Amino acid sequence: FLFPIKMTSPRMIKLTSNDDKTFEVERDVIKQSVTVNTLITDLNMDDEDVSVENQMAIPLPNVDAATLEMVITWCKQHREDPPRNEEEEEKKEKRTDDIPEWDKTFLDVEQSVLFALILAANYMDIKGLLDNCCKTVANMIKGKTPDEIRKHFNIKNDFTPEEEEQIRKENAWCED
Amino acid sequence: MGNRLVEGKWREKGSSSASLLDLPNEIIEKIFSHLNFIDRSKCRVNRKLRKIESNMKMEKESGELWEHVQIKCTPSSEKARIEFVPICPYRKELLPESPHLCLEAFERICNSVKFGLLSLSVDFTSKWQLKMLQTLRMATAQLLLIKDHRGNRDSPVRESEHLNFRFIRLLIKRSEVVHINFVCSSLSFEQIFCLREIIRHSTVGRLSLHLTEEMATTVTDRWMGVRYSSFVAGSRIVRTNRHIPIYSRVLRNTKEEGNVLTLHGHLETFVYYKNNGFGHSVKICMEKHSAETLRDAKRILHRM
Repeated sequence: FLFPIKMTSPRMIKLTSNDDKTFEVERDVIKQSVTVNTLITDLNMDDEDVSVENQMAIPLPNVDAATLEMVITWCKQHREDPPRNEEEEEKKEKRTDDIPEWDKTFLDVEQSVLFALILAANYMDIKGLLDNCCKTVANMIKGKTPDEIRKHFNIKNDFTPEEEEQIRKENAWCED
Repeated sequence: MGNRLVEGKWREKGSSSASLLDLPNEIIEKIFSHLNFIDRSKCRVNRKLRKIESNMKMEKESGELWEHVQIKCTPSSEKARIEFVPICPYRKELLPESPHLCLEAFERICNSVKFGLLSLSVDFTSKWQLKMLQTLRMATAQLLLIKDHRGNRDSPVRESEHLNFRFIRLLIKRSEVVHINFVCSSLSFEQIFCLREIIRHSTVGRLSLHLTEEMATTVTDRWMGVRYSSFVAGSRIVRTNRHIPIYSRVLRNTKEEGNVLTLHGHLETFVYYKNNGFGHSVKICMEKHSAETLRDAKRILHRM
Protein backbone atom coordinates (compact mmCIF):
# COMPACT_ATOMS: atom_id res chain seq x y z
CA PHE A 1 0.00 0.00 0.00
CA LEU A 2 1.16 3.42 -0.69
CA PHE A 3 0.11 6.12 1.73
CA PRO A 4 0.20 9.71 0.71
CA ILE A 5 2.91 11.43 2.76
CA LYS A 6 2.03 14.88 3.88
CA MET A 7 5.12 17.06 3.64
CA THR A 8 5.08 19.71 6.30
CA SER A 9 7.29 22.61 5.44
CA PRO A 10 8.80 24.54 8.34
CA ARG A 11 6.73 27.40 9.59
CA MET A 12 8.03 30.70 8.25
CA ILE A 13 7.93 34.15 9.81
CA LYS A 14 8.22 37.42 7.95
CA LEU A 15 10.38 40.23 9.32
CA THR A 16 10.59 43.71 7.87
CA SER A 17 13.62 45.96 8.33
CA ASN A 18 13.45 49.73 8.80
CA ASP A 19 14.30 50.19 5.13
CA ASP A 20 11.28 48.10 4.12
CA LYS A 21 12.99 44.91 3.12
CA THR A 22 11.16 41.75 4.10
CA PHE A 23 12.88 38.54 5.09
CA GLU A 24 11.34 35.14 5.51
CA VAL A 25 12.85 33.13 8.27
CA GLU A 26 12.04 29.80 9.85
CA ARG A 27 10.12 30.04 13.09
CA ASP A 28 12.61 27.69 14.67
CA VAL A 29 15.52 29.94 13.73
CA ILE A 30 14.11 33.23 14.94
CA LYS A 31 13.04 31.84 18.29
CA GLN A 32 16.48 32.92 19.53
CA SER A 33 15.23 36.49 19.44
CA VAL A 34 13.28 36.97 22.65
CA THR A 35 11.65 40.11 21.26
CA VAL A 36 10.37 38.40 18.11
CA ASN A 37 9.47 35.24 19.96
CA THR A 38 7.38 37.13 22.49
CA LEU A 39 5.64 39.03 19.73
CA ILE A 40 4.77 35.83 17.88
CA THR A 41 3.41 34.27 21.05
CA ASP A 42 1.49 37.36 22.13
CA LEU A 43 -0.11 37.75 18.73
CA ASN A 44 -0.98 34.04 18.61
CA MET A 45 0.80 33.82 15.30
CA ASP A 46 1.76 30.23 15.98
CA ASP A 47 -1.90 29.21 15.98
CA GLU A 48 -2.86 30.93 12.81
CA ASP A 49 -3.23 28.69 9.86
CA VAL A 50 -2.24 31.23 7.28
CA SER A 51 0.22 30.87 4.50
CA VAL A 52 3.39 32.88 4.66
CA GLU A 53 2.18 34.98 1.74
CA ASN A 54 -0.80 36.21 3.74
CA GLN A 55 1.04 36.51 6.97
CA MET A 56 1.61 39.83 8.67
CA ALA A 57 5.25 40.82 8.66
CA ILE A 58 6.81 41.75 12.00
CA PRO A 59 8.30 45.21 11.69
CA LEU A 60 11.74 45.80 13.20
CA PRO A 61 12.02 49.59 13.06
CA ASN A 62 15.44 49.67 14.72
CA VAL A 63 17.20 47.28 12.36
CA ASP A 64 18.29 47.91 8.79
CA ALA A 65 18.20 45.22 6.11
CA ALA A 66 21.93 44.55 6.00
CA THR A 67 22.09 44.08 9.75
CA LEU A 68 18.92 42.00 9.84
CA GLU A 69 20.39 39.70 7.22
CA MET A 70 23.43 39.23 9.41
CA VAL A 71 21.28 38.57 12.45
CA ILE A 72 19.32 35.92 10.57
CA THR A 73 22.53 34.32 9.37
CA TRP A 74 23.83 34.16 12.94
CA CYS A 75 20.54 32.69 14.16
CA LYS A 76 20.63 30.02 11.45
CA GLN A 77 24.15 29.05 12.45
CA HIS A 78 23.19 28.82 16.11
CA ARG A 79 19.75 27.23 15.77
CA GLU A 80 20.96 24.01 17.39
CA ASP A 81 22.53 25.75 20.38
CA PRO A 82 21.18 24.61 23.75
CA PRO A 83 19.02 27.20 25.49
CA ARG A 84 21.00 29.62 27.63
CA ASN A 85 20.65 29.68 31.37
CA GLU A 86 21.10 33.35 32.07
CA GLU A 87 21.70 32.86 35.78
CA GLU A 88 24.52 30.43 35.04
CA GLU A 89 25.91 32.76 32.39
CA GLU A 90 26.02 35.61 34.87
CA LYS A 91 27.96 33.54 37.37
CA LYS A 92 30.47 32.38 34.80
CA GLU A 93 33.93 33.80 34.76
CA LYS A 94 34.04 36.70 32.34
CA ARG A 95 36.15 35.27 29.55
CA THR A 96 36.66 36.62 26.08
CA ASP A 97 38.72 33.79 24.66
CA ASP A 98 35.77 31.48 24.26
CA ILE A 99 34.17 32.99 21.16
CA PRO A 100 33.50 30.15 18.68
CA GLU A 101 35.68 30.22 15.57
CA TRP A 102 32.69 30.69 13.27
CA ASP A 103 31.58 33.73 15.27
CA LYS A 104 35.08 35.16 15.27
CA THR A 105 35.11 35.12 11.46
CA PHE A 106 31.52 36.31 11.31
CA LEU A 107 32.22 39.25 13.56
CA ASP A 108 35.42 40.25 11.80
CA VAL A 109 33.70 43.20 10.18
CA GLU A 110 33.96 46.96 10.12
CA GLN A 111 33.37 48.58 13.47
CA SER A 112 30.19 50.34 12.33
CA VAL A 113 28.76 47.00 11.22
CA LEU A 114 29.71 45.38 14.50
CA PHE A 115 28.09 48.15 16.53
CA ALA A 116 24.95 48.03 14.37
CA LEU A 117 24.85 44.32 15.04
CA ILE A 118 25.19 44.94 18.79
CA LEU A 119 22.30 47.41 18.67
CA ALA A 120 20.19 44.94 16.71
CA ALA A 121 21.05 42.03 19.02
CA ASN A 122 20.15 44.21 21.98
CA TYR A 123 16.86 45.33 20.42
CA MET A 124 15.93 41.84 19.29
CA ASP A 125 17.19 40.43 22.59
CA ILE A 126 19.48 37.74 21.21
CA LYS A 127 21.73 37.11 24.18
CA GLY A 128 24.25 34.78 22.54
CA LEU A 129 24.92 37.18 19.68
CA LEU A 130 25.08 40.19 21.98
CA ASP A 131 27.51 38.39 24.26
CA ASN A 132 29.89 37.41 21.50
CA CYS A 133 29.76 40.91 19.99
CA CYS A 134 30.58 42.46 23.37
CA LYS A 135 33.45 40.04 23.86
CA THR A 136 34.77 40.96 20.41
CA VAL A 137 34.76 44.66 21.32
CA ALA A 138 36.38 43.86 24.70
CA ASN A 139 39.14 42.01 22.83
CA MET A 140 39.71 45.11 20.71
CA ILE A 141 40.22 47.15 23.88
CA LYS A 142 42.47 44.74 25.76
CA GLY A 143 46.09 45.76 26.07
CA LYS A 144 45.60 49.15 24.45
CA THR A 145 46.67 52.46 25.95
CA PRO A 146 44.04 55.21 26.32
CA ASP A 147 45.41 56.96 23.24
CA GLU A 148 45.29 53.76 21.22
CA ILE A 149 41.69 53.21 22.36
CA ARG A 150 40.76 56.73 21.24
CA LYS A 151 42.40 56.17 17.89
CA HIS A 152 40.90 52.73 17.36
CA PHE A 153 37.34 53.80 18.15
CA ASN A 154 37.69 57.34 16.86
CA ILE A 155 36.77 58.88 20.21
CA LYS A 156 37.33 62.55 20.81
CA ASN A 157 39.07 63.48 24.01
CA ASP A 158 36.68 65.93 25.67
CA PHE A 159 38.50 66.20 28.99
CA THR A 160 39.81 69.46 30.33
CA PRO A 161 43.60 69.43 30.88
CA GLU A 162 42.92 69.12 34.63
CA GLU A 163 40.61 66.15 34.20
CA GLU A 164 43.08 64.48 31.91
CA GLU A 165 45.88 65.01 34.37
CA GLN A 166 43.77 63.49 37.14
CA ILE A 167 43.03 60.38 35.09
CA ARG A 168 46.64 60.12 34.03
CA LYS A 169 47.65 60.11 37.70
CA GLU A 170 44.98 57.58 38.55
CA ASN A 171 46.09 55.33 35.75
CA ALA A 172 49.80 55.76 36.42
CA TRP A 173 49.87 53.04 39.02
CA CYS A 174 48.42 50.41 36.72
CA GLU A 175 50.64 51.03 33.73
CA ASP A 176 53.33 48.58 32.75
CA MET B 1 28.05 30.28 5.58
CA GLY B 2 31.42 31.17 7.00
CA ASN B 3 32.82 31.40 3.47
CA ARG B 4 30.50 34.24 2.65
CA LEU B 5 31.96 36.07 5.55
CA VAL B 6 35.52 35.55 4.43
CA GLU B 7 34.52 36.88 1.03
CA GLY B 8 33.85 40.09 2.86
CA LYS B 9 30.15 40.21 2.13
CA TRP B 10 29.52 42.20 5.27
CA ARG B 11 32.94 43.56 5.80
CA GLU B 12 32.16 46.88 4.22
CA LYS B 13 28.45 46.58 4.17
CA GLY B 14 25.88 48.54 6.06
CA SER B 15 24.66 52.06 5.89
CA SER B 16 25.03 52.35 9.65
CA SER B 17 27.70 54.60 11.06
CA ALA B 18 27.27 53.43 14.64
CA SER B 19 30.23 53.96 16.92
CA LEU B 20 31.13 52.76 20.38
CA LEU B 21 29.70 55.92 21.91
CA ASP B 22 26.31 55.29 20.25
CA LEU B 23 25.82 52.14 22.27
CA PRO B 24 23.52 52.36 25.27
CA ASN B 25 25.31 52.67 28.61
CA GLU B 26 24.29 49.19 29.73
CA ILE B 27 25.90 47.67 26.64
CA ILE B 28 29.11 49.59 27.23
CA GLU B 29 29.01 48.32 30.82
CA LYS B 30 28.58 44.82 29.48
CA ILE B 31 31.64 45.27 27.27
CA PHE B 32 33.63 46.67 30.20
CA SER B 33 32.56 43.77 32.39
CA HIS B 34 34.70 41.54 30.17
CA LEU B 35 37.80 43.60 30.93
CA ASN B 36 40.04 43.38 33.94
CA PHE B 37 40.45 46.37 36.19
CA ILE B 38 43.58 47.65 34.46
CA ASP B 39 42.12 47.55 30.95
CA ARG B 40 38.89 49.04 32.21
CA SER B 41 40.73 51.90 33.87
CA LYS B 42 42.32 52.74 30.55
CA CYS B 43 38.90 52.98 28.89
CA ARG B 44 38.27 56.29 30.57
CA VAL B 45 39.13 58.11 27.38
CA ASN B 46 36.32 60.63 27.40
CA ARG B 47 33.68 61.92 29.82
CA LYS B 48 30.94 59.49 28.87
CA LEU B 49 33.11 56.40 29.17
CA ARG B 50 34.66 57.69 32.37
CA LYS B 51 31.26 58.15 33.96
CA ILE B 52 30.10 54.70 32.90
CA GLU B 53 33.28 53.07 34.19
CA SER B 54 33.18 54.92 37.49
CA ASN B 55 29.59 53.90 38.17
CA MET B 56 30.19 50.25 37.50
CA LYS B 57 29.86 47.91 40.43
CA MET B 58 31.56 44.61 40.77
CA GLU B 59 29.55 41.51 40.19
CA LYS B 60 30.51 39.62 43.30
CA GLU B 61 30.46 36.17 41.77
CA SER B 62 32.48 36.97 38.71
CA GLY B 63 34.64 39.78 40.05
CA GLU B 64 38.33 39.67 39.44
CA LEU B 65 40.23 38.18 42.36
CA TRP B 66 43.43 39.71 43.67
CA GLU B 67 44.69 36.87 45.74
CA HIS B 68 47.29 38.57 47.81
CA VAL B 69 47.10 42.25 48.37
CA GLN B 70 49.02 44.33 50.77
CA ILE B 71 47.83 47.83 51.31
CA LYS B 72 50.10 50.16 53.15
CA CYS B 73 49.09 53.67 53.93
CA THR B 74 51.41 56.32 55.25
CA PRO B 75 50.68 57.28 58.82
CA SER B 76 49.69 60.73 57.77
CA SER B 77 46.52 62.56 57.01
CA GLU B 78 48.24 64.98 54.71
CA LYS B 79 49.47 62.75 52.00
CA ALA B 80 47.92 59.60 50.70
CA ARG B 81 50.15 56.72 49.93
CA ILE B 82 48.69 53.33 49.28
CA GLU B 83 50.89 50.58 48.01
CA PHE B 84 49.80 47.45 46.29
CA VAL B 85 52.79 45.19 46.64
CA PRO B 86 53.86 42.79 43.91
CA ILE B 87 52.10 39.79 45.34
CA CYS B 88 48.97 40.97 43.61
CA PRO B 89 48.86 40.57 39.82
CA TYR B 90 50.33 44.01 39.33
CA ARG B 91 53.69 45.33 40.26
CA LYS B 92 54.23 47.54 43.21
CA GLU B 93 52.57 50.80 42.49
CA LEU B 94 51.18 53.68 44.34
CA LEU B 95 47.79 55.23 44.15
CA PRO B 96 47.61 58.96 43.59
CA GLU B 97 49.03 61.00 46.41
CA SER B 98 46.14 63.32 47.02
CA PRO B 99 43.76 61.72 49.54
CA HIS B 100 40.77 62.69 47.41
CA LEU B 101 42.12 61.02 44.29
CA CYS B 102 43.45 58.15 46.28
CA LEU B 103 40.05 57.45 47.80
CA GLU B 104 38.40 57.66 44.42
CA ALA B 105 40.86 55.19 42.95
CA PHE B 106 40.54 52.94 45.96
CA GLU B 107 36.78 52.94 45.66
CA ARG B 108 37.04 51.97 42.03
CA ILE B 109 39.32 49.09 42.92
CA CYS B 110 36.96 47.91 45.65
CA ASN B 111 34.11 48.00 43.15
CA SER B 112 36.00 45.87 40.69
CA VAL B 113 37.99 43.26 42.49
CA LYS B 114 37.69 40.83 45.31
CA PHE B 115 40.55 40.58 47.73
CA GLY B 116 41.84 37.22 48.72
CA LEU B 117 44.40 37.70 51.41
CA LEU B 118 44.37 41.32 52.25
CA SER B 119 46.99 42.84 54.44
CA LEU B 120 46.00 46.27 55.50
CA SER B 121 48.21 48.71 57.23
CA VAL B 122 46.57 52.00 58.01
CA ASP B 123 46.63 54.91 60.32
CA PHE B 124 43.37 54.68 62.19
CA THR B 125 43.53 58.29 63.22
CA SER B 126 43.57 59.60 59.71
CA LYS B 127 40.17 60.64 58.45
CA TRP B 128 40.72 59.67 54.84
CA GLN B 129 42.08 56.32 55.81
CA LEU B 130 39.04 55.62 57.95
CA LYS B 131 36.92 56.55 54.96
CA MET B 132 38.98 54.09 52.98
CA LEU B 133 38.11 51.40 55.48
CA GLN B 134 34.46 52.13 54.98
CA THR B 135 34.94 51.53 51.28
CA LEU B 136 36.93 48.43 51.98
CA ARG B 137 34.17 47.08 54.13
CA MET B 138 32.07 46.83 51.02
CA ALA B 139 34.65 44.74 49.21
CA THR B 140 34.75 41.06 49.86
CA ALA B 141 37.77 40.49 52.02
CA GLN B 142 37.97 36.80 52.62
CA LEU B 143 41.02 37.06 54.77
CA LEU B 144 42.22 40.11 56.42
CA LEU B 145 45.23 41.30 58.24
CA ILE B 146 44.93 44.54 60.05
CA LYS B 147 47.89 46.46 61.21
CA ASP B 148 47.69 49.73 62.94
CA HIS B 149 50.42 51.67 61.31
CA ARG B 150 50.94 53.99 64.19
CA GLY B 151 53.83 52.11 65.69
CA ASN B 152 55.01 54.83 68.00
CA ARG B 153 54.62 53.43 71.46
CA ASP B 154 54.87 56.82 73.07
CA SER B 155 51.95 58.28 71.24
CA PRO B 156 48.98 58.68 73.52
CA VAL B 157 45.80 56.79 72.96
CA ARG B 158 43.55 59.11 71.09
CA GLU B 159 39.93 59.64 71.72
CA SER B 160 39.00 58.53 68.28
CA GLU B 161 40.39 55.10 68.94
CA HIS B 162 37.13 53.59 70.06
CA LEU B 163 35.94 54.47 66.58
CA ASN B 164 38.79 52.45 65.16
CA PHE B 165 37.60 49.45 67.03
CA ARG B 166 34.14 49.93 65.68
CA PHE B 167 35.58 49.91 62.22
CA ILE B 168 37.63 46.85 62.92
CA ARG B 169 34.57 45.10 64.23
CA LEU B 170 32.62 46.00 61.14
CA LEU B 171 35.42 44.77 58.93
CA ILE B 172 35.82 41.59 60.87
CA LYS B 173 32.14 40.79 60.68
CA ARG B 174 32.55 40.52 56.95
CA SER B 175 35.83 38.72 56.93
CA GLU B 176 37.74 35.78 58.16
CA VAL B 177 40.58 37.29 60.08
CA VAL B 178 43.97 35.73 59.96
CA HIS B 179 45.99 38.14 61.86
CA ILE B 180 45.49 41.27 63.83
CA ASN B 181 48.62 43.10 64.63
CA PHE B 182 47.57 46.01 66.70
CA VAL B 183 50.42 48.18 67.74
CA CYS B 184 49.50 50.68 70.39
CA SER B 185 51.01 52.01 73.54
CA SER B 186 48.11 51.12 75.73
CA LEU B 187 44.60 49.83 75.56
CA SER B 188 41.66 51.09 77.50
CA PHE B 189 39.43 48.57 79.23
CA GLU B 190 36.76 49.31 76.70
CA GLN B 191 39.19 48.38 73.98
CA ILE B 192 40.23 45.23 75.77
CA PHE B 193 36.62 44.11 75.96
CA CYS B 194 36.15 45.08 72.40
CA LEU B 195 39.15 43.02 71.33
CA ARG B 196 37.91 40.11 73.37
CA GLU B 197 34.60 40.36 71.64
CA ILE B 198 36.31 40.42 68.27
CA ILE B 199 38.31 37.36 69.16
CA ARG B 200 35.31 35.50 70.46
CA HIS B 201 33.22 36.16 67.42
CA SER B 202 35.76 35.82 64.68
CA THR B 203 38.22 33.32 63.42
CA VAL B 204 41.36 35.06 64.48
CA GLY B 205 44.52 33.24 63.58
CA ARG B 206 47.03 35.42 65.26
CA LEU B 207 46.89 38.39 67.46
CA SER B 208 49.85 40.49 68.37
CA LEU B 209 49.64 43.25 70.84
CA HIS B 210 52.30 45.65 71.73
CA LEU B 211 51.52 46.89 75.17
CA THR B 212 52.98 48.41 78.26
CA GLU B 213 53.89 46.00 80.99
CA GLU B 214 51.01 47.14 83.14
CA MET B 215 48.53 46.67 80.39
CA ALA B 216 50.03 43.34 79.44
CA THR B 217 49.49 42.16 82.98
CA THR B 218 45.88 43.24 82.82
CA VAL B 219 45.35 41.59 79.50
CA THR B 220 46.99 38.44 80.74
CA ASP B 221 44.89 38.51 83.87
CA ARG B 222 41.75 38.81 81.91
CA TRP B 223 42.50 36.58 79.00
CA MET B 224 45.22 34.26 79.96
CA GLY B 225 45.18 34.37 83.71
CA VAL B 226 43.16 32.59 86.32
CA ARG B 227 39.96 34.37 85.56
CA TYR B 228 40.14 33.63 81.88
CA SER B 229 42.36 30.68 81.68
CA SER B 230 41.88 30.20 78.01
CA PHE B 231 42.78 32.34 75.10
CA VAL B 232 41.32 31.78 71.74
CA ALA B 233 43.84 31.73 68.96
CA GLY B 234 42.52 30.48 65.70
CA SER B 235 40.15 27.68 66.39
CA ARG B 236 42.21 26.33 69.23
CA ILE B 237 42.13 27.16 72.85
CA VAL B 238 45.47 27.62 74.42
CA ARG B 239 45.76 27.30 78.13
CA THR B 240 48.42 29.18 79.86
CA ASN B 241 49.46 30.50 83.22
CA ARG B 242 49.58 34.04 84.32
CA HIS B 243 51.81 36.98 84.86
CA ILE B 244 55.16 37.97 83.63
CA PRO B 245 57.28 35.09 84.87
CA ILE B 246 55.01 32.92 82.84
CA TYR B 247 55.58 34.85 79.65
CA SER B 248 59.10 33.67 79.44
CA ARG B 249 57.96 30.19 80.34
CA VAL B 250 55.49 30.35 77.50
CA LEU B 251 58.24 31.60 75.28
CA ARG B 252 60.53 28.81 76.33
CA ASN B 253 57.86 26.17 76.12
CA THR B 254 56.34 27.21 72.89
CA LYS B 255 56.85 23.82 71.37
CA GLU B 256 54.96 22.15 74.13
CA GLU B 257 52.31 24.76 74.39
CA GLY B 258 51.44 24.80 70.74
CA ASN B 259 50.26 27.96 69.11
CA VAL B 260 50.35 30.79 71.52
CA LEU B 261 50.07 34.44 71.61
CA THR B 262 53.17 35.34 73.50
CA LEU B 263 53.53 38.49 75.44
CA HIS B 264 56.98 38.88 76.74
CA GLY B 265 58.58 40.97 79.40
CA HIS B 266 58.02 44.58 78.73
CA LEU B 267 56.45 43.54 75.55
CA GLU B 268 58.90 45.35 73.42
CA THR B 269 59.10 41.86 72.08
CA PHE B 270 56.13 40.15 70.74
CA VAL B 271 55.98 36.86 69.05
CA TYR B 272 53.23 35.45 66.98
CA TYR B 273 52.84 32.03 66.06
CA LYS B 274 53.08 28.76 64.41
CA ASN B 275 50.62 25.98 63.79
CA ASN B 276 47.68 28.22 64.15
CA GLY B 277 45.61 26.40 61.62
CA PHE B 278 46.63 28.76 58.85
CA GLY B 279 50.13 27.48 58.26
CA HIS B 280 53.42 27.19 59.99
CA SER B 281 54.79 30.65 59.69
CA VAL B 282 56.83 32.00 62.51
CA LYS B 283 57.79 35.54 62.95
CA ILE B 284 59.51 37.17 65.82
CA CYS B 285 59.48 40.90 66.05
CA MET B 286 61.75 42.67 68.41
CA GLU B 287 62.01 46.32 68.85
CA LYS B 288 63.86 46.34 72.11
CA HIS B 289 65.12 43.27 73.82
CA SER B 290 67.31 41.95 76.51
CA ALA B 291 70.01 39.38 75.90
CA GLU B 292 67.78 36.83 77.54
CA THR B 293 64.75 37.43 75.38
CA LEU B 294 66.89 37.40 72.27
CA ARG B 295 68.36 34.09 73.33
CA ASP B 296 64.88 32.70 73.98
CA ALA B 297 63.66 33.90 70.63
CA LYS B 298 66.63 32.39 68.83
CA ARG B 299 66.09 29.12 70.62
CA ILE B 300 62.46 29.03 69.59
CA LEU B 301 63.29 29.81 66.02
CA HIS B 302 65.95 27.14 66.05
CA ARG B 303 63.51 24.57 67.44
CA MET B 304 61.00 25.34 64.75
